[in-house]
Amino acid sequence: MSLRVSTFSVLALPAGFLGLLFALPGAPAAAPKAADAIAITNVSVFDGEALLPAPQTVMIRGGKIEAMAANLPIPKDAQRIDGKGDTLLPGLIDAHTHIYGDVLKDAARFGVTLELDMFTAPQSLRALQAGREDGSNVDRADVYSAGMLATAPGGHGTEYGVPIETLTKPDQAQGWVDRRIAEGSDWIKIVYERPRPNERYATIDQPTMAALVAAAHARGKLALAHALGAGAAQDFLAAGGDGLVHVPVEPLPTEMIERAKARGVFVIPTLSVQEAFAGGTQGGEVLMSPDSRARLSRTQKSTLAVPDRPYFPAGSLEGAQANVRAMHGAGMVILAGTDAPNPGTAHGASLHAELRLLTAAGLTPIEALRAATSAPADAFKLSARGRIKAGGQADLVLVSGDPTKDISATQRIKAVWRNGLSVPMQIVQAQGVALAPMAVSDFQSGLASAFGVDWHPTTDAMIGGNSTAKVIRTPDGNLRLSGEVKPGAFTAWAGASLAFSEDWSALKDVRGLSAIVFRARGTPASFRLMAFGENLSGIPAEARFQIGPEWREVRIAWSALPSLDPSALRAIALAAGPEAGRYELEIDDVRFE
Amino acid sequence: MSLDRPRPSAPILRMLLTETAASFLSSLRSPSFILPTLAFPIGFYALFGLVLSRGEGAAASLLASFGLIGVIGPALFGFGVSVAAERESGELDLQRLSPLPVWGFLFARLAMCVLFGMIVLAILYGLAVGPGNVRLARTQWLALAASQLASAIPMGLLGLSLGLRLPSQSAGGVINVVFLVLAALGGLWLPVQILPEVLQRFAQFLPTFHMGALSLAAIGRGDGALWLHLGVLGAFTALFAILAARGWARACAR
Repeated sequence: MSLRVSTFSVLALPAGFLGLLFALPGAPAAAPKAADAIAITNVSVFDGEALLPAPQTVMIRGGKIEAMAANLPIPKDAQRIDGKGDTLLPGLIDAHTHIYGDVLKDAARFGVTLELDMFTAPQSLRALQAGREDGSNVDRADVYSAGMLATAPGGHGTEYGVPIETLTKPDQAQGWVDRRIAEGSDWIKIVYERPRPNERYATIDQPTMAALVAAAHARGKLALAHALGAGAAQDFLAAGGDGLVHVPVEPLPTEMIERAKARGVFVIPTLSVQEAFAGGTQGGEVLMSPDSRARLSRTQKSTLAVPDRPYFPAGSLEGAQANVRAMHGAGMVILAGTDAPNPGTAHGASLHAELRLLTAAGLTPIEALRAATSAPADAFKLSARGRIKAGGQADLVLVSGDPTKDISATQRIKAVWRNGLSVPMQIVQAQGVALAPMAVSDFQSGLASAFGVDWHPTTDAMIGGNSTAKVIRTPDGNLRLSGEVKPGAFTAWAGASLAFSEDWSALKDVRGLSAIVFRARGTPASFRLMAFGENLSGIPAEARFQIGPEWREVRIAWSALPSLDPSALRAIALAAGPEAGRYELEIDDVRFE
Repeated sequence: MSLDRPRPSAPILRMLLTETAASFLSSLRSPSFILPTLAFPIGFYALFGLVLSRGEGAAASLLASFGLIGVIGPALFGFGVSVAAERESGELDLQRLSPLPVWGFLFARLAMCVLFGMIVLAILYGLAVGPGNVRLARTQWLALAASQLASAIPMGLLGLSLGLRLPSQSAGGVINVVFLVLAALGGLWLPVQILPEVLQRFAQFLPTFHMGALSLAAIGRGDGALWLHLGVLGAFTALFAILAARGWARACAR
């Protein structure tokens, strides 16, 4: 190699490298492409604080609200939208969610442009937070998040199968908080209760909780608590905590509320989830509302299905509502949050139910709207969010009617904009392959099925549980399931599953079928058919069946699984649980009718 | 330093170019330089980032850290090991007599390291967009390349200050250890979050930790403390520059 060639390479290499950088396949650009200007004319505007006195013209350009005034010249290139009779709201903020799976587009379709996540798997944090600063997300909600939560070994939060670094002592607090901040936590969420007899979950003690609050404050982060007991909430506020992520159910002392108000403490009541857990039907109403139905994805429909029996004792919702009423009466800051996607709630959709529940607990519609816009933006110091102002981020929701008079108008969404671009309202989702009536498995040869896939053991180990399952074929040609259901997971199960491909990727459409039929016998107990839909992060649909020591035919109609979207079935399972105990179940002649 | 340096007789730019080219060429001819600097980051990225990676985004985030390893390697070795050898063989004295000013010599060496870094990055980026299916916006690619190539400056200065002090026989070994410690404990091999807590704390005292944070920020995975990382790296650069300058003065005084 001559020196000349090498001299050439000194110049050619950087040029080539720069060329390569420009040739690399481009992704969607970081900045939203300067959208054509949009002019919404003659529209009522709730700016995050109040309804503006006169109809406005709002100009959107380049992801920002360019101008807003009662009368604006409209440039030729602008797309005009007549907003007469409609109200423009700032993008809504859900101040309490959990993000698993692809749910942020679901939120955006319902006008929720920002979610404040209160616990998710830390390894997904960076991806969830991407794009929130540079305005590059145009079809999904942005995310700020607590990341991992602070809890004791065996405490609430450990039951979901997400690995958690638990703690027990005050001197662990600062290191724990610093690791969360390094992972990307935007604030610190603490699970704390006063210890009680027969409590299902362990809890950190009061000194550890107080040390966590101090550790968060030492790093300039908010300290929030999941504290459902009145005493626990009191301890937390005494330790200097900044906000409660649920409203306690037990009556709160007036002087505690007064002190919280004086210190500027906020509360995110999450009446949606409390209502669903108390056996309420608000989620079902959202599911059935003609305003919402077309915009609900399969995931949203499946999580909106209410639990088959209440998790919370009777009267708990009334207790929560009474506390909201008292807190609101005292002037405390109240933020709208849903705790989606817990059973009975869904990302996006449930925020509208939450707004209705808040007005039922004494907030005026304007106060409820503030609780989902400017109030959370202020409480979490997100100054670019929650308000409509010239120069601000163009996250907007256009609804028909006047939600400052009738809060249910927020559900009549005409358009949503994220960073100045219109959010698509249609849902893109996979479609299953249609099934006709067929024999599935007779267990004459092995554990095979007509789908070419074997039956496999399935347990709650999938979500962090401890149950065990063994699946064998008996010499006389039956499927035998045995093992033990053990408490530990959010919902315990153990049994056998059948998917339609080994990797669980195949979807089947069972709308042309009426029922699943099989013969069964075993330990007299209640078993269940579980049906896994397209989204595996929700709780599976299930129907119970009884068996005894003698063979009997079991027939379960698909319609007995209301939360399943029958057009996309991923797998079925026959399982024991959630009651703990040993089980034995034999199955034969499984068929779809 | 010496005032009796011969006056430059050729245009400075051409001298710089020639010196860079010579430096580049001599490195290309040295397998002990090429192997660790080229093969390691590329091989390990292919293994960890592409073959073994799970979950979305691993191919992209590992691109940020392995790209840094690819730039830091040439910078440390190119300055450290070769300067130690040149010092002992007397080539450095010769260099001081040449018409090229000291800064020109250093610049050419740095340019050589950056050129090497570009080769490594070009291959890594190619792997990332091909098998890794990484997609970044153009501004992100540019920011990523800039943040990674800029890391050559503090690391080159660190290599230089080591090379000016270490005997040539041990320079290779010592710099290898420095390289591995900076890369591994700074969270470039594996994310710092999976290290034990003590090491996680220690990582924050390493320049590589802050480089990693900046490269992640370039691809939209920043932790929000951009100015902190820039400030810490500025301080490290100044520290290494002082160490290098003192080492140079010492080497000259001998």
